[in-house]
Amino acid sequence: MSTTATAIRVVPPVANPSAGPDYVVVDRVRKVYNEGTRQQVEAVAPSSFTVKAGEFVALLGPSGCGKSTLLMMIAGLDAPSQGTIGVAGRALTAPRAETGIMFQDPTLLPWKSALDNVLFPFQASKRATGPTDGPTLARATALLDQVGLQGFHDHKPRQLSGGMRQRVAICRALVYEPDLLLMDEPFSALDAITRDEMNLVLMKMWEEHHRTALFVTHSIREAVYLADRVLVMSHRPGRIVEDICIPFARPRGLEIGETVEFNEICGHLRSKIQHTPH
Amino acid sequence: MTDIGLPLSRHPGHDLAGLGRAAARLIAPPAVAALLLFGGWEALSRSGVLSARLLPAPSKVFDTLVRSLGILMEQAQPTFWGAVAGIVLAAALGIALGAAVSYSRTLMQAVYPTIVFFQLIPKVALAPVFLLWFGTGFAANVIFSVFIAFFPVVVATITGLRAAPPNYERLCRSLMMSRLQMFLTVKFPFALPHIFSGLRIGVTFAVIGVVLGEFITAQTGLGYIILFSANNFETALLLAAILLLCGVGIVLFGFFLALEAVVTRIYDSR
Repeated sequence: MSTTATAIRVVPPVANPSAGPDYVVVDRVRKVYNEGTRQQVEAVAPSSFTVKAGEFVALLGPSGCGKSTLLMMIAGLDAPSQGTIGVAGRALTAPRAETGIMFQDPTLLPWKSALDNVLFPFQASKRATGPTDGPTLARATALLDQVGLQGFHDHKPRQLSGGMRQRVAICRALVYEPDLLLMDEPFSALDAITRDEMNLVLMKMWEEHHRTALFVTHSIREAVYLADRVLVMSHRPGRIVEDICIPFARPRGLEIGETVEFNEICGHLRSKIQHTPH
Repeated sequence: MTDIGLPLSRHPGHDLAGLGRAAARLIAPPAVAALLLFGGWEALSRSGVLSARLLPAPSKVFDTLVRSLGILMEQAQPTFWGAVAGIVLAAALGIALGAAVSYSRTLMQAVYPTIVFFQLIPKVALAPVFLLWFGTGFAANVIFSVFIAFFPVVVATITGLRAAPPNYERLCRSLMMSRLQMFLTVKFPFALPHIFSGLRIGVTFAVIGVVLGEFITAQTGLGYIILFSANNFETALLLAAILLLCGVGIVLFGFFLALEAVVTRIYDSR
């Protein structure tokens, strides 16, 4: 492959003028499971990177490379074995109320309607407002309408398709207006067509509710399509082996996937994933 | 999780005639089988092949049931209420202990082996001990019933509280929910189908427990009637009491099936 051609187009991250100050700071974070035992596994090798305020960053890597582990640590759901994570200028020690999270499965409560699932975060007593609060309810309904679920507010998850369920999950992650959105391969269980659709929905939602976002995926095209910046993680133990900016202007249509530039960036990222020594 | 092993056929059911035919298809095979069984039994008894003393004809059993209905119904009451008290207490204790054990890993490690150990003891072997401890009253039967019915409920609750996929726990933690809230809003509803299958086993065990208690305490109840009539070679009365015992079991089991249907309709975790 032509490395010179791609090298010209791949923009280093320092050249992103639109981004704000560092919002997420991951500093030499390492994760080891079963430390000190025979089954010791290093899931994440010491990794450092930052996500700037308002930036959409994709964390790309092969299956089992530790990218989800890294995301869970940034969510405060798992503690690093070494290193520190800072979010919004504070060291992270526990989950934050201002982080929204999406998983690979929609994780909806099967006995609750779509609307009640979106309102689920307000059941946590630590939140100031209750789920029946007027503005909260209005926001939840508006979000469901925005993702194209008009007329499905009272449907139970089993009455919805896989894509529709993930749309509900997007709304649930956004309803309490988090400043940081963490997504762990949210569309990887969907078929290719639905996945394209969901990428469009996510882009639309992200443009309307501008948040700092970190998106974990193993799909190169998805990463390039969605993100301002793509970080590539190596095979386990995962470490960051590439950090590039994606230059396409927003709003992005799916047609950018047909351009030469898009495919060159994808080719470059693919070579980075494949050429990392194990 | 409402499957109790009965073949439930689904059909369009647009017209009443079709519905009737479907019902006939559903009811006919077991009805014919039962008719053949009881008919054969009746014939064998009347022809003298079966000793009327050891196995009286169904008509004789029915006759005894009608004639002794007063005393049988009277004795069915302690058995019924004993089983009700048994399963209700077993459910409350079983769910509470299952929840407590699931809440704390240390408690699980400490208590679970003991639970399994007690499960392995043939509980009938403990009956004489219970007689010593709790006497021969109604309470002794209930305690024995609770003791037997309690294990399936605990085990089902522990299994059920692990049923929610791990991401639900992550979701709740990321939403900063307390463990109690997570239990009430996610874990317990997800555990309900398991808990109900435990209760279904528990309810049959509760009846067994009461009857065993009545065998040993030998004071009241259908268990006592069975013991008494066996000793006096009143086989017809014995079978009539067993028939009524079946009725007690069916009523209790039916109640829990109905409760399960209502609850799983609300908390449908499919």
